Amino acid sequence: MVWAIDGDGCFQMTNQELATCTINDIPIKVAIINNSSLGMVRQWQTLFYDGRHSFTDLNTGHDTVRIPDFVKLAEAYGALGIRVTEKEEVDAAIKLALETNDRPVVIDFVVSRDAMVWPMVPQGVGNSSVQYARDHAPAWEEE
Amino acid sequence: MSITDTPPARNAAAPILTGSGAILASLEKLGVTDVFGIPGGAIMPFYDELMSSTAIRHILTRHEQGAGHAAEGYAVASGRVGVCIATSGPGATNLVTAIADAYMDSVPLIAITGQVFSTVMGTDAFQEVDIVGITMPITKHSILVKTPEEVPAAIAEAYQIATTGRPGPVLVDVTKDAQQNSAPFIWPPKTDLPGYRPVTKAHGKQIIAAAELLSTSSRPVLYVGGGVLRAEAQDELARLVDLTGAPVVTTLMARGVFPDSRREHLGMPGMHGSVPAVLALQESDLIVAIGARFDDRVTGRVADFAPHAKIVHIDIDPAEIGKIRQADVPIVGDAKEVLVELLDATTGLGKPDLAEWWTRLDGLRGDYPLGYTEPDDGLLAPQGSSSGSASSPDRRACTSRAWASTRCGRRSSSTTSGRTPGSTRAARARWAIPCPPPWGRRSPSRTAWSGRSTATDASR
Repeated sequence: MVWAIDGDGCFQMTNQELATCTINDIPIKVAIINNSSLGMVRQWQTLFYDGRHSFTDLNTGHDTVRIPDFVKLAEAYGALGIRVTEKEEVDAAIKLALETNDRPVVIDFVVSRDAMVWPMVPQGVGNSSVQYARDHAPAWEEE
Repeated sequence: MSITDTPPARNAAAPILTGSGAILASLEKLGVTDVFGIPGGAIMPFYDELMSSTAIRHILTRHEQGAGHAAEGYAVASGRVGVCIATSGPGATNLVTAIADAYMDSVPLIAITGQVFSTVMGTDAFQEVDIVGITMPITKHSILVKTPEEVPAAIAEAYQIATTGRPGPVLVDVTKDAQQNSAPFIWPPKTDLPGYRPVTKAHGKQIIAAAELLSTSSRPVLYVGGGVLRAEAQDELARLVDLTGAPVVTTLMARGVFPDSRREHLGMPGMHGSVPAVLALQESDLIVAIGARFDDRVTGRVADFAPHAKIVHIDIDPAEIGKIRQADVPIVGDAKEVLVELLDATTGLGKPDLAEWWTRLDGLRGDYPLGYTEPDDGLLAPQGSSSGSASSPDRRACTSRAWASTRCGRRSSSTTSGRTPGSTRAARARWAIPCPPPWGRRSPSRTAWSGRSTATDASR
């Protein structure tokens, strides 16, 4: 069994290969972590560019036009599409994906666009500047 | 498979094949069973041959980038060479991202492209690009084939270069006339790779120096990279940890080669690494880098990286030694062979006293566990979906990659910017691994998340 964990941005760069998977009986599972944006760039814009989110909205998530609609897209390619918006739905969706082996499965996990990747060492500084969370740097032993 | 050990067969006994027939026969002789690609004008003679092959399964992708990444995923998951095929011009350029990714991630890949007739090369012919020139800086080697006689050696050399030493991509560009014309098919061919002699066995003196440093250090860290996976040296690594009790960090490329569940594992180092992994390297007095290359995403500002550490740098590629950080003990060799020797040399030297070191590291682990806060917009936390009840699998990509890599148990990965499609590579991996693997956190690395370890297991 193979899972792909993708963002909504990178998934759209090769999602046509779902056709390859369905037609060739390659029932992979795809977990789209859909934050409706080019999230890594958005995080840097938030942290280092005064929150100016220049061209990083993808409009695939909550409260957007949802283009594309990943569930419909999955169905168009002959895959099973599942949308998850609530924490309580996570386990059932994964269970259903695990039980579905006659076609690919795409789970659209609709997540917060403001969630960030932590810990993080900002670019251009030493690793001693690692931040555990925003504005939260651990103490380390400088000899 | 040894290509060069036996002398070339006699011409008299050799069947006459077209160049495209020779490509197919060469791939079959090399044991290739699966290829990915898309046909087009300049590669049609080969596709005509491919249609009748019973030994090779071809997977038609929808874009050449998909074929390239698929071949990469296949290679990483199975430990075999990946093969992708495209036509000239736009077909070939669409492979470029995957080829670059394979180069960065040391993935054994053969890219076969059609080229316009040799008679019109250089005239800006229909769908002509200089793909050999374009891929020169992102392959281990690029070969232009203009006659059918050259085909067997070109494919054999591509296989040998892609799969030995530090693995990587090789491109073979075959003109349409070379595919159409005929020649005796001589196998095994005489290959000619002057100067290509990957070093796998390390210098004994350096091994002893490394062992002595390791047994006398008080704050060592084993900095483990993708080379350990490629060398399938997971068991030797585990034994070295057993022997020394030293902490381990695994880079994105090495996730899965050492179980996250083991106490000695501090996690992934670098820009989005765990705090214990990052600070362990910073505060260490000895870093043993094994198949890792001091990537900027791992080191941060190099001048400030691990300022008090001595460096033992083990890598199969001599160009990596000292490239970023001066090595006190440079060791060129295959990770598995070097670790076997290092184990021998370390046994009997005495276990270093790391009690104080572990007190510090466990303190960091207690103070800075991987965690996350729930978003205040009421939506799901990404970390919640990728570590949820069931943990997770193979990933790629930007934030999704970073989250997956920090939250999930283990898996395989890639470096080129992260915009490489999980779906395509996952497709390949699925297909290369017939065994029914693991979702969820199983224990040891032998059944691990990494497609590679899993595949290795299945093949044994």
